[in-house]
Amino acid sequence: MTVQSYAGRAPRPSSLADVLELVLDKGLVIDAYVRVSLVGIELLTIDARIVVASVDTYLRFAEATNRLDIQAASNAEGLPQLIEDMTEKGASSKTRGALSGVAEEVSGWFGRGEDDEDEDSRRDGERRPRRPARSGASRRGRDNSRENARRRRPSNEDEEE
Amino acid sequence: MLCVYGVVRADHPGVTTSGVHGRPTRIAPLGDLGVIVSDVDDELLARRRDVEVHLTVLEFAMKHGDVLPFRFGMAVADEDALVVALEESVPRFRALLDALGGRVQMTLKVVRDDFESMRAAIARDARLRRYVERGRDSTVIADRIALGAEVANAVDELTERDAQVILDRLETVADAIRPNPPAPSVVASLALLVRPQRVPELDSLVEDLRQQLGTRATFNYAGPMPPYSFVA
Repeated sequence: MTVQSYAGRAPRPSSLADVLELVLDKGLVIDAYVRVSLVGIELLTIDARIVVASVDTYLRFAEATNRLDIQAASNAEGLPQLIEDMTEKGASSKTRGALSGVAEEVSGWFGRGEDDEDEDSRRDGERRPRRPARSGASRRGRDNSRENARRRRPSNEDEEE
Repeated sequence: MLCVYGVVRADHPGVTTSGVHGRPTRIAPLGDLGVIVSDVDDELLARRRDVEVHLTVLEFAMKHGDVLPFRFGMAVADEDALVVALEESVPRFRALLDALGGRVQMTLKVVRDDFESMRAAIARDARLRRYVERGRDSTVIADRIALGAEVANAVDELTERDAQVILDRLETVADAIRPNPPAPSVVASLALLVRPQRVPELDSLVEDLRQQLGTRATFNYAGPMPPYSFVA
């Protein structure tokens, strides 16, 4: 199968979070009693649901209206300076920050294979002990939710042995 | 231990690219079907590059015939265990392969730019424009919230309209559409099942939509890829 290329289309989704949603959330699964799951991978997509409180959203929009030139808006013309302001500290930055946070978290998780925590990760997967607190400052904030997620999951890995 | 990638028909030639840990892939028989697998050592780690390999193997496989992708991270002890795990599913797999008939998955994620969307929403609504002009200088918190709610609703309505337009247009080309769960600021996040020969048509549809929504949304359009979203 060959498909002509088109500049606006990538072979895969461009963000790691979207790729992971595809390959971790979707696809065929093998019965839990037979399969051996790779270490930790089921935990990756859990933090990807974000709730933004309504009032916070409303206040962001109210603030944004102050930056809007109404006349220009009604002409639907560009306001480059204002838009730049918004991009820096405006309405969408909060959501974007949270989303890229997920991607960073996720890549951190995979990247861990490179260092000496490999050993821990593997044993985690086999026996699911409570994970000792990590020293990495960037991950500390997430450890709780990850632990909770881990405990919610039934442990299947031992069935194979 | 075997790492499992995807289900193919028995006549699939297999893939030449290597699997996880650089080990060669092969096709393990499963009734009258086959499963693309590769050996892995018992010490498995879920690394980012392993996910890449999973994707790559499946992308190679789909060039030579339909493939039902497994979720990343599936592994079984050996070929016997594979058959035990999957033999009951063979009729379902066969039906899925037949239903695919060469179709591929495309994904489209449209994320709105909140500020640009607000500008567009206010621009097309004279009543809201007057309300914003009158109300936005108030520093009373209740006024701020009311104003913000009014604007947010207008933006959401515009987003819903955009989402409907996108869906209506794509339905003319896609044989099936699976939406992903809603998320903040996401106008549409869709998996599309498409005949490869209609991909150029889809390309120009997406391009039209991109032009139509202008600066108020960014498009992330990808594919062709194995039908991850259509095998469950």
